[in-house]
Amino acid sequence: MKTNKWAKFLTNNTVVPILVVILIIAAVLDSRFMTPGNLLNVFNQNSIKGIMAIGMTFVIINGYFDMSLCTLVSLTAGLSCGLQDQIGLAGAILVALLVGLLVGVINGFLIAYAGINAFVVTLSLMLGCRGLTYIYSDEQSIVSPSMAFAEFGSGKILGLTYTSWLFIIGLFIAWFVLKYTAHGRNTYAAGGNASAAENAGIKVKRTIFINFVICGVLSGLGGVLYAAQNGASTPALGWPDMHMLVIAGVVLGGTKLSGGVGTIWYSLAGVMVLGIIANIMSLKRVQSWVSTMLTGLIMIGVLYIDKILTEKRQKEGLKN
Amino acid sequence: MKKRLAAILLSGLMAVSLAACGGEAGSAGESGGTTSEGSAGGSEEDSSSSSSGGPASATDSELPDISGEDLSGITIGFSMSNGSGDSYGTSYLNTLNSFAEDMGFELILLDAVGDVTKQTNQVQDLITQQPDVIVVWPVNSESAVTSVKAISDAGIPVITANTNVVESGEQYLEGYVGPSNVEEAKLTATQMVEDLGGEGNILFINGKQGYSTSDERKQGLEEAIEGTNIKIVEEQPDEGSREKAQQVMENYLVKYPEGEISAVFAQDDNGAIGAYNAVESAGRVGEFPIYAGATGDYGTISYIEQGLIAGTAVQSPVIDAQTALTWAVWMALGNELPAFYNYIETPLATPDNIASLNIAEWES
Repeated sequence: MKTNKWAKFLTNNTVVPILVVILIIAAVLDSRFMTPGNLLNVFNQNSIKGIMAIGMTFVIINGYFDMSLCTLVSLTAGLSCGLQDQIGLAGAILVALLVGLLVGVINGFLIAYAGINAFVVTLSLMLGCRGLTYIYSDEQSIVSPSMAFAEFGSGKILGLTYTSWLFIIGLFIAWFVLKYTAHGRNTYAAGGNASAAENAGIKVKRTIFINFVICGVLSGLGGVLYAAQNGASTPALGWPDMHMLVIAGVVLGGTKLSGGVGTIWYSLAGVMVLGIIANIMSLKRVQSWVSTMLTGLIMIGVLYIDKILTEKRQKEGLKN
Repeated sequence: MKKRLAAILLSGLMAVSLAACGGEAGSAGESGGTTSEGSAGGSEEDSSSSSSGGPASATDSELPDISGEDLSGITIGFSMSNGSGDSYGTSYLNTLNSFAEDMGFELILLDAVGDVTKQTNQVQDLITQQPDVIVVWPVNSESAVTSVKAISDAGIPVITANTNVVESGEQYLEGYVGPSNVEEAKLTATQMVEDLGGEGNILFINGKQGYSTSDERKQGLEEAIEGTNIKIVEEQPDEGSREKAQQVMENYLVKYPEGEISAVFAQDDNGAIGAYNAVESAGRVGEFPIYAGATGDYGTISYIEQGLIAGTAVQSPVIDAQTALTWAVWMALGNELPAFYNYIETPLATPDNIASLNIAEWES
């Protein structure tokens, strides 16, 4: 029975065997991969993307996705550096996060309450934020005047950057919210079947709205953290495919784009699988575009296997 | 500051001989060279006489000859800005690979394809591999400071190539090897000022925004026209693409009728050719000259020969790449860079002098 349980766990969570396989392949390909220093390095490298993936997970479980993240990061990165001279470091970070919140509110309002298509809305906000970034920054990079900001960005405890610790804390909060709060359950219900959820008395619109706000704030935070990591912001940050890489991480983990299915741990695993692939490609000196192409191929492969396994489960009458 | 002073004092080193330094990767290391200008602005007249010498203030010396050494134990890490953004980057990247192969040292080349965050991550991956020296061509001068600091903290000597980091990051560097983007644009713009007789309204086509190269070329242009009666009436970015530059120019042509434009200044040759294409299809060729801040594509040479581009600073990716690697290997062999700023000379080319420059062809 015990082995059966394991088999069920593995087929239900396809990202786990995938992660294991990728880890083994990486370790075989390059002996430097499995060193503690490099593993910590991979985690640190992907922690900002991971933080943004948390917000994206909420939106995707809800059955939507948010493309505005792509340029929102450069806007909040720019603000967190550029406003320091006027309102101090704390003020600048706060304003940057509020801008992230505001973008989330606009996304949420237009999609949930005005009923406009999410693709169009988040695409518009993506373009809007890009324009604003270049206008605000006068097309220039902005250096953070505060050294403390950059020190936070590169500072470490026990080999993990502060950003990584934030990511870990964020994962547990998100796990708790999704599993134990009404909002979390509403998100699954609204994403799984919006009209059924509506009939069951769930405030679907409010749920959608809140999830876009979460995603906006965390994307804004991602931008601030990138600025801290680099001690500077550049208007080109995030463009053109940051949102796609974040969505890719979430979906690769097993959270369904159609909504209703997924966990925060899937996103952690998905982001790390992409990170490991990038890392091993660097260690093996594979050309960047080859690495990008392989990532695409691996995603198709993984999602295809996942699809087959899902169908098999359904045939066997097992619950999803 | 100390390093800068040292650079001026030491300002030694070489003039690139564009003529002598051809496409043969194997021998180029011996014949190529760099010019260390320090803060002394290179004199424009000198730069056209390629092999005889650089600016008056610099003494000539040769690029070190590394071809005779056994380089099999040497590993150089190279974090490249963008190997697929334009033909300059592509030839640069190909030259890096072929040069390392010909010279017999190991090269770990990681291409950030223009992505700031990717470069940050790749530099960490480079550190993991512990090469003898790391060369960074920053995607962004400001953001790369943390990367060069991380390399320096890991105890690996680091130099920047082609684009430098901002001043706050220079303390972590052994030096910089590459052309001066500011000087290139200034050189071309000074020629433009001369051609226009010191007055006129010019249109500026800038490059990819948020990239240091564009900012520095703009700075060079502004420095050259400062104090003259030349005004930049409008500035638009071309996002680094010829097609976008053509669109920008088409809009300019609608907006500014005949007689209102004295000249067009594009940040690089891509922008200038895009502008020329627009001018040609509008039937307004010959109305005003077009300048390119710098040229990194060999195909552009024919545009200058035909007089379609009135002036540009020529920058060969082959020489730039080989020079950067040669110095990195030189350092890996236990030597020091002769100066902090090791500028590679970029001669001014105009339709009048292009034939006498004898520019060696490079693949693009």
